[in-house]
Amino acid sequence: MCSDLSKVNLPISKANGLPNSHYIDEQVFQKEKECLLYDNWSGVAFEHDVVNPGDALPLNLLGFPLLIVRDYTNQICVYQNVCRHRGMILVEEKKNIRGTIRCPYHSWSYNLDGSLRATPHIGGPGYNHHKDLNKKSLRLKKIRSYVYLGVIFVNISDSAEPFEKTNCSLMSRWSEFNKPLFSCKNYSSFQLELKCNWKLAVENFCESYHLPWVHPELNVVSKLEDHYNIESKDQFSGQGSYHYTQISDNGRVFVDFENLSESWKTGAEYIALYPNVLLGVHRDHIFSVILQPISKDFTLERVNIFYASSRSINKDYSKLREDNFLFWKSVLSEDIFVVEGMQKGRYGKFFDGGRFSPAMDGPTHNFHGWVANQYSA
Amino acid sequence: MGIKKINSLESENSKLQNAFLKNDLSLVVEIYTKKAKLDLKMGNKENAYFNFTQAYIFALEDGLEVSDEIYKILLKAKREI
Repeated sequence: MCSDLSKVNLPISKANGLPNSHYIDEQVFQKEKECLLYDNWSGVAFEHDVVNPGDALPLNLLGFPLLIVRDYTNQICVYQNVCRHRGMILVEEKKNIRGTIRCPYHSWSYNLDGSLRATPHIGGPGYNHHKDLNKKSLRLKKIRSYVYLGVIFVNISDSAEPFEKTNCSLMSRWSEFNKPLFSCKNYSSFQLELKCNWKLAVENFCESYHLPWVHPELNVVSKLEDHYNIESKDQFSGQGSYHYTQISDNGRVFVDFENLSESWKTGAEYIALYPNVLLGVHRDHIFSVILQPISKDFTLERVNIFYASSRSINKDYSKLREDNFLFWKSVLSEDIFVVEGMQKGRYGKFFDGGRFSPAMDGPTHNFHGWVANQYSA
Repeated sequence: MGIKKINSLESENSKLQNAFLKNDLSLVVEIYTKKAKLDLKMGNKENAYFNFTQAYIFALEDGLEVSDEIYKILLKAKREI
């Protein structure tokens, strides 16, 4: 299981990428589950997955059972989806909870704030308390969570710095986009299946080097030389473009975010927020991508597009939204063959992690360095 | 137990089953509460508080206001804290 990471953190001109085992070895995958995904702030769902008070969404992050709830004060809470009594899964399917969360096994019942409300027959039939059991000490295990750009992030192991501290650099960089976001049911979300390790999708997203070859149509509107690398050690990396052109429908364009700086009128940025969330911001919309690892070589890519104004989700804009949806779906789908091709390539036992382009691969090198550092953290 | 009483119990149980099948928790609560009150009337306290407990749990799950009322009954009988 030990892999040699000594060359990963060398300067980019001398470094090698992560060894093959980080993509194909089950033991490494299990280790990375803990040290990359559970120990950091991982994206698990979108805010609108639980849109109404009482909505409860069960999901799991590589086996860890989570329950995402929007409580009656409209706050999102995340719990370990496990009853404190016999370890039964509390909620199996997405539903709206009108009152308490009742365990289907012995009906221990929890309030949406996680407190244990009732323990029926715990002292014998018809006796709902027992001197040896203190309900106050049996709350649902709360999982730290934070909502940013429409994504619900969790830190399962409770070991990370606060989200705002970990991601202060990006939040500051993109503070102008930290505003209400608008999404609708039609042409806002899609999901792609990737037969690859989730990290390859991160690596591909954060660099622009491949654009002329994999996305030639993008290169027409935003050439390779219009792009720049973005690297923040231990937080994120990506690429920016000085040349974002709004799509239009007979002169109609999406409504912009309010009070944006001039640079955003033609600029766009695409950043991988480590470990598993990909984000793109533009003057009029953003998109958020959650990479959900399913196994070492299979990943679900959930994409959602958010607009800057409620006007942009009106019926009048439906054609434009459809065009935008199809555009991003097409672009992100074009990447599938490369991430899957790189996954297959990791079985070439003489591949040494690869050498980087010192000019173009900085964002990928940055991500690999972050991965390597998590092992020593 | 008389035939009439057995038939009545079967009918109650069938109502309860149907209410569960329809996921009509409001009706489930109503049936358990009715059973509990009847048990109390018959002097069968243990059955009564068992049924009040059942009613209480489903009332809580469904967010029904009647849960407060049932809670008070259980509390008074020292079956809840």
